[in-house]
Amino acid sequence: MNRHKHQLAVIEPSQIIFAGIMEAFRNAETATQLTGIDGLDKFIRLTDENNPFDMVIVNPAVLPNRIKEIRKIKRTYPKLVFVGISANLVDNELLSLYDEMFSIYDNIEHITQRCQKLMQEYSSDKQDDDNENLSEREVEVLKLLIKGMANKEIAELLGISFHTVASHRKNISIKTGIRSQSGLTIYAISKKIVSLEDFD
Amino acid sequence: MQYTQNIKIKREMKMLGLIEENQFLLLTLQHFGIDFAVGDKSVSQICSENGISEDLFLIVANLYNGYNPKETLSFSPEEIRQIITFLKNSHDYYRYDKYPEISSYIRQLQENHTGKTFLLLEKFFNEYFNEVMDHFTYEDKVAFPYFLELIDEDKDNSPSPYSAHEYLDHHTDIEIALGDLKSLLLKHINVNGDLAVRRKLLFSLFELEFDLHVHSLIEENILIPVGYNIEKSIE
Repeated sequence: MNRHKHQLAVIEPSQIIFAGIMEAFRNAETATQLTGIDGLDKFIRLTDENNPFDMVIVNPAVLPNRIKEIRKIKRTYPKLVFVGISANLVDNELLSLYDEMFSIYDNIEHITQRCQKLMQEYSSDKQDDDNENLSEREVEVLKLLIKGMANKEIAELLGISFHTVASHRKNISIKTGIRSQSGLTIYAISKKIVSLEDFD
Repeated sequence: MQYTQNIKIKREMKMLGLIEENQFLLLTLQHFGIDFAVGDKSVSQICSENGISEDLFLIVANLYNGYNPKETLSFSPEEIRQIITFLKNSHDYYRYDKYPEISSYIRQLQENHTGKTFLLLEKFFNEYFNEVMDHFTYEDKVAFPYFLELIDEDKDNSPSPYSAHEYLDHHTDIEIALGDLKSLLLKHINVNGDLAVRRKLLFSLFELEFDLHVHSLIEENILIPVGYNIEKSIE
């Protein structure tokens, strides 16, 4: 396991909410290095491969019109976790950029613990090099996906939430660069994750 | 896909220099029905010789060079006819040119290598492409005649069974499929040798992807707004 301090960036235009987030993470005694960042442009400048952030908490209000740039960052840094804490309803396109969205009414402990867990999951070292760094769980989801199962069915079968399945699915596509089910099937066969006979 | 931005095309520029800078402009010429032997002629000269609207040509050629029009555009009925001919010609290029070309490369790979991977790849490509073909045929047979009818001034305003709102875009499907094919070829499938065929296949995929991208931009930025505006003016 990776024991380094997780790097957490916070982009929040409201001073009072910003102060609240910083305070919450300081009090949570998580192994987290907090950096408050003034705007998305500065975040983009500060992010580089040698010194990547593990997570960014970014207010969805600063993202409209910047969606393309966010997608690019996400492609470049697939391990970067995008988290939002929002006071408003967020439209679906914006929401799809986020790995997790909290409400400002969520319990503080819930938010900090969940963030901590997400950072651990995303930066964990239990990766299999032959599978483009797909985690064991992602391979499991992939196998079910290419059998034609819907997210909901997969969630029920594995006993995880619909949202978690969706986020695994998104990660599979980010890591492999493949979005369609047929494409993923060919991927899985050529990587010997499944064999052709499984489809007969 | 990396879209590099080239210079912004102006009417007095020489076509030859522009092609040398961005070879994809050959596709612009072809879809407009303009011959490649452009000699020493300027954009203006070429347009007037071929009966193509200069303004329209500049907008489309600049899309190929990476410039999206910022202002709202308006077009004459003749220009709309020219846009539709351009889009129809693009459909023919996808149907009769790119599709057989890409298929034949995948077929060659399949013949040269044992294992089922390329067989699956071919099936995958065919499935998506046939779906997209159906959509192109629908545009040729239903959507384009509707737009032509809209701009026809003599027509009675009887309610049409169709509307620009229904002009849905299926191109994303093929864009996803092309992206997947590229990822499979560049990241995942291990084959020995056959670099020449694989390179030709990839070049072909990149070319198709680029042209489809501009195709969608033309529909979204030109054709659909034109349809909305005319429908609004009729209401």
